[in-house]
Amino acid sequence: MINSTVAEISAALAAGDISSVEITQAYLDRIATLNGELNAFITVCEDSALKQAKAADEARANGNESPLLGIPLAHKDIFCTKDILTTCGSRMLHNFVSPYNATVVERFNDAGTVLLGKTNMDEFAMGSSNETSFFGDVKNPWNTEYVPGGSSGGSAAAVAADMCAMATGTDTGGSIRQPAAFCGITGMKPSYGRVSRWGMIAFASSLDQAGPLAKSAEDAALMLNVMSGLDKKDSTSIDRPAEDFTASLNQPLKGVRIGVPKQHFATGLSIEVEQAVRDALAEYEKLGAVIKEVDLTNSHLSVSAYYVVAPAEASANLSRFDGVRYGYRCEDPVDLEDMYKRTRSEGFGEEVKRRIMIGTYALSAGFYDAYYRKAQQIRRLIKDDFDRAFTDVDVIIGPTSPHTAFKLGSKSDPVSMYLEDIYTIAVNLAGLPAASIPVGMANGLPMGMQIIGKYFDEAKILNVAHQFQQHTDWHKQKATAIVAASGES
Amino acid sequence: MALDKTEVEKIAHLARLHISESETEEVTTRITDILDLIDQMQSVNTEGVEPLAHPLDAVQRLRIDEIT
Repeated sequence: MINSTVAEISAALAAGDISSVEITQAYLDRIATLNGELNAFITVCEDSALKQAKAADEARANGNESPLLGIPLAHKDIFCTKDILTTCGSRMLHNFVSPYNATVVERFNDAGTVLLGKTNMDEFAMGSSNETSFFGDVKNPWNTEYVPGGSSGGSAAAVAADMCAMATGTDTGGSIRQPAAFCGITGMKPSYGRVSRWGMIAFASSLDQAGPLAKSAEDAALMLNVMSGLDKKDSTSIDRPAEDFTASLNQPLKGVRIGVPKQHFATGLSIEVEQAVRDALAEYEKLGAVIKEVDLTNSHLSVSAYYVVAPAEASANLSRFDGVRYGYRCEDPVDLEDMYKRTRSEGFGEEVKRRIMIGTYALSAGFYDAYYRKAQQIRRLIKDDFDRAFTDVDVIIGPTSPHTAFKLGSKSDPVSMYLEDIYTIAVNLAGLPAASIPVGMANGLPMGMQIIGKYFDEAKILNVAHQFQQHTDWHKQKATAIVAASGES
Repeated sequence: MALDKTEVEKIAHLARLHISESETEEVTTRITDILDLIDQMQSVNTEGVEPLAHPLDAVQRLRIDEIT
């Protein structure tokens, strides 16, 4: 049952075929078997998980029929969890136990889910390979010599390896979609403002958004139903009426207009990924969709604009880690400045320090217009491109990543790592929703397809994703190497 | 845009980071590479383009101004 979707487990729980305690124990056993090799979890909450599972079974006996009641999940270690270690993948927070729950965590608790543990991630969500974590690399369950993607690499690997039924992640420049693509699962970044950022450790506040990592589009819809909604504690949370994202999953695709940006099929895209996405587009045509070319003229500027906006906001957000209030503090400081400097230099890893420096430089006196303001103007151009394209199409489809997962340790210079997110970053700059779904396999590794939607049109993205999954089985492929290695069925 | 060692040391101080003598050269190279990537932005004329701070141009929600 651990390899089932949330929808299937939910049905089995409702029918009484299995209890939450049983399925929770099965996931805990799976984690115990695989985590040594994959390193997907930083913290496993065995005792509290079994307590939550028992409570869920009792609630069900008392008539609670919440769809996610008793479903075991994992939270990315960026979400504050009351009385549970919350590290953000950093030495800076290696000892931080949060006194409160993030809104996302609170919402899942209210829905009766079971928290199995906290997943590994790039330090402060800065990375595309999960190699910047203080807690070590996460391995790709399809081939442990390869990265799982990042920054939500632990969540993606945990879902792909059936160590949980579903997981949360966050996406600032592709951090849900790219690991979902590399691990062969479904991931979604909702519209900016759809999901509360309260209690989610801030990286770049104008870009960060939490979302689901799941085994199907239907599961992602079930998760989004729980996660989304107005939160007065997040001033950028959007006040929109509650939606049931599962309601339109089965709408036929006849007449749906799919935009294909030529800029996402240009130099740098691997032949295998291009072919897989083109095959998927042919499948959509068979389902009655209409394919149109769209022009995202300024998309080549997204990476450069992002590396001003994100580091600038990060440098401000991460100034709170100073050794005074919580987290790591250096030994024997000689004075205040020495404490600040050594705490931050010893507590942060290389990539985080690099981005703080870039951001500090971009915001320093005399450079604001040339960098931050310029980047915000580029953001406007990128958003305008999308607005124009969406007057003519319902969704935009292209590759999530230019290629399949790369080998651990193979990208040592930061700029080549930054270019990994070339297709995903523009979506964050514009604040649009987008998903990545499995679209094929090459050399034993999965490939992902990105589906971008209009503002607050997550339902259409999920409908388009679900219909593809009704007619193909890429999302059902399992990471067989790791299953064989662990000796489990 | 190339940075020199002194500028990198100044940025590190502003960010309250300590960079050891042995790291300075590598940090300078890396940051210069990243600034080169960023400078691709400068190839586009953005005169008159309104900067975008929030995708929906939303503003902060404020509470009612009353004594609490």
